[in-house]
Amino acid sequence: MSRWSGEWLLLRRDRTAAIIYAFFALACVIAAADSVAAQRREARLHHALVEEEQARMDALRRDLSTPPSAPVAAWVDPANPGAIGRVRAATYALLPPSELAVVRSRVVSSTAVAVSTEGGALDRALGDLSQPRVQNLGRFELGFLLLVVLPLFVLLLCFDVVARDHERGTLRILLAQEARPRARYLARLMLRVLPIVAMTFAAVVIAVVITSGFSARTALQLGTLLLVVAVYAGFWASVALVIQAWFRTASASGVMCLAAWAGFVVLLPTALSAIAEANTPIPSRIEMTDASREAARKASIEADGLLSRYLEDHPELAAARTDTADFFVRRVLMDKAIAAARAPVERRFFEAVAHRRTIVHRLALASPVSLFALNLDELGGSSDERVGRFRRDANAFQSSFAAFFNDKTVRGERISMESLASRPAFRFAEGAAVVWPLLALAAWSLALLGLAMLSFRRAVAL
Amino acid sequence: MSVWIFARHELLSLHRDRRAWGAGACLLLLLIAASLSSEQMHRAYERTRSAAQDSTHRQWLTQGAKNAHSAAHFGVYAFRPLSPLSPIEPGLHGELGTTVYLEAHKTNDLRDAPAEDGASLTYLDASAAFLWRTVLPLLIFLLVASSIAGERERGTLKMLLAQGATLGRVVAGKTLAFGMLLLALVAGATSVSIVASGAEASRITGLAVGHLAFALSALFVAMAVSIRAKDSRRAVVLLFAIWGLGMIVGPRVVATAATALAPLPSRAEVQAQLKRELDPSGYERRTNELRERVLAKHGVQKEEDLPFDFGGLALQTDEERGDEIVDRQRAWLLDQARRQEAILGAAAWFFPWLALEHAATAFAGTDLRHAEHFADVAETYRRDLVERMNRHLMERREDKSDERLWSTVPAFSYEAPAAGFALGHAWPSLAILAAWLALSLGAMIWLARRTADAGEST
Repeated sequence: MSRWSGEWLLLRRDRTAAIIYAFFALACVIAAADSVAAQRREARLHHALVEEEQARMDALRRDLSTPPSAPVAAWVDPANPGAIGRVRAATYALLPPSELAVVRSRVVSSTAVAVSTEGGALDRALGDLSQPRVQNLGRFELGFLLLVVLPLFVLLLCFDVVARDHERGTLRILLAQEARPRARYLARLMLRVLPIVAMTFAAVVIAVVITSGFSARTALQLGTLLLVVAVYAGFWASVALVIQAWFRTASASGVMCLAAWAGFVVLLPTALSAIAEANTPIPSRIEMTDASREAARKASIEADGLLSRYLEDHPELAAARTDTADFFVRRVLMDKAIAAARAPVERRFFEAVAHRRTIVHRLALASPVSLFALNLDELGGSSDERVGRFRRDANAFQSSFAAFFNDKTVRGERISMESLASRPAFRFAEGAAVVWPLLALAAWSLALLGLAMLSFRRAVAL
Repeated sequence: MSVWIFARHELLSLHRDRRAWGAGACLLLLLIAASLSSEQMHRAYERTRSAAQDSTHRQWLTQGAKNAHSAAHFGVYAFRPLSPLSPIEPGLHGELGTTVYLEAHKTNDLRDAPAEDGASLTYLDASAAFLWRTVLPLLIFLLVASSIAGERERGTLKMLLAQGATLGRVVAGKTLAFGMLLLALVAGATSVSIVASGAEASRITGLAVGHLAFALSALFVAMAVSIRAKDSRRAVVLLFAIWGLGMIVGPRVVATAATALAPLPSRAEVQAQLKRELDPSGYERRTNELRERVLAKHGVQKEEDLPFDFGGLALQTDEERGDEIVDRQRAWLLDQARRQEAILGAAAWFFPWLALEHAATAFAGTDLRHAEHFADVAETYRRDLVERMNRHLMERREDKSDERLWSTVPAFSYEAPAAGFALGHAWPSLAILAAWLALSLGAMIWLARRTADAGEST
């Protein structure tokens, strides 16, 4: 009987392992169902927003093509850029979901942002309404299964692969019969871990096919995910083997495996996050609100002075027939003054977020779990880079969208069907794939595997 | 042999156990580090919030001369204060918004939740609350798992029984020892919290009672498992499975189930529905209808002949109509949120971790009900402010008002409700914790007796 088939037979007879696999299979089903449901909710939201905008724009075009017979108030005039830029011609900036969005390790709260001539795109995210307590508890999704639960099950299956032989005294017999005990234990470890990886992968594939369908690009991404999951599972199996080199009894090894799990999954990422937070505090949104508020106050007092200053800054608009008493003209100037006051705080905010991201990524090198999460987010389209770029782009888009309508308002121009067609639209440009987290995770796993091999002699010493 | 002898022996063993010392010291250090770091963040937040709250009132007072209704549009901001106990139990602070804009016509939601900003590496919360609720029970499980099973494995239990001890006394002594340690830990933390946080003593007591009941339940469960387990390995594995299922996986599965069984609409859907009902484009029509009614009621032909300014009345009437619609929608949304809450409450009978989380956040003042209380106070303030402005328009017919009117609006201030408010909605969770305490104690005693009676002690 070959080494592999012997170990396979042992595994098949192990009732405890069977129960553990059954629990894990159940966990996979629950996690996949939750991730699919969350993904569908997001898709429904995006779809509803696109439809709503379409209906609103159709109605606006209809109104533009049939001018009213009697004069109408400025705020219901379909050709008034100041009025329609705020509501009727408003749009959305949407972050498209990636094919593997179901494996995200975190919730992205702002995949849809309402954009109008009113400033502050950052304040106008349109996510799911969620019960804060439910949100705080977190969801049992695929990202959580992969990051937190998978290591627990790998450790549960591997914490006594050598220690049990020690305790039962079968190690002595095995060493006497087996020329290459290292290969046998590696086969045992791999056989125990493989079903976990296979079940996880199957759950992800099913969830991806349900939510995104299947394409060559999806297949490539799924292949990458399989590699990442295998490397991660290998890391945890190596941890179990290293621990058994130092702790011979199953109970001691079990306790230490739990400690390793708590250390790597909970404590290390938390400590690294605390370091990042201490090094790069992010300006409070309250400060941003306060700055906007002060600007709004000043602007409301100095509305007349604002116009002359604005026209000095924009001589190209000075020749236009600007109605200084127009509510919308005054509003544009106030919005611009508020945006100018917010700008330094916003700049500090984005710079601090970018700086923290850099620090977090550097620190993540010290944590294999964080590296794995970065890989999941890269594949799931929820990486800090992608989400950060989206927020920045949405904010910049809001400025150009507002400028389109505001300049027309100040010039005293009216909106026509043609000019409405040239209204700016949001396009999100995908960035290049980031591979360093995968390479760093592979380096961690190889290092642990090397350590496990080096300490193997100690693990099987009688 | 007296129970005290076994208790003293267990304490001595723990005193000599370097692993127990190491684990205990680690937990204590982490608790101190987490509390201090949260305390620092709490202070920074409160400094910024308090300055911004003062600033918003100053800005209100110095907004310049304008129409009173324009002033109502200018409005004020209310910033949610943090509870003094939030460094120990941050609760939902990360998920709840910090700021609400109080303006005419609109009931805005709390926005700018701290969790929205900043990259992080944490996937499981590691606040002091997490350490108390999740890591402390794990430590209890790991230390207690081998207390009886280990004696059995080493053969020392047989020796104790041969010397005249009973399994019940051994179990009672060991439970007493661990119980005293837990009591000392909770009492110490409670004293420090009372001195350091300045929070109401009754809130801290509620928090401490919840934690103590949960920790003691964990102790009784661990002891029951240790009594029945053949060896410490099996006890560790079983207790670890209970821990993982009950405190890590279970609550999330329940949260997932709550979301699936009682889904909430998206923010966009809610906004669209509200806009449909409010129908801002129908303001002219509604105002004309009101004008006809009011003129008829006062028996006059023109607005100018009314004893008050009609514009102010129209604004206030439309405001009140909007408030009714908003209240109706808010009640419906709260009802949906309560359905999720009810699912979590029912699941807490199986996962007492959820009951502790609910009770602890309630007593710390960091739960959803406290946030709703803040939102209600802010909304009452908004309505009062808008009404003052509209009434002023009605009565004075002023085109422009100034600081004399603005200063009649008091600065927004918020005082959190007393501990009775927390007890009012947290008592079912406390009842669940009490039931678990009684059940786990009963199970431990029953298992000890059954094992002894069946002659399976050794």
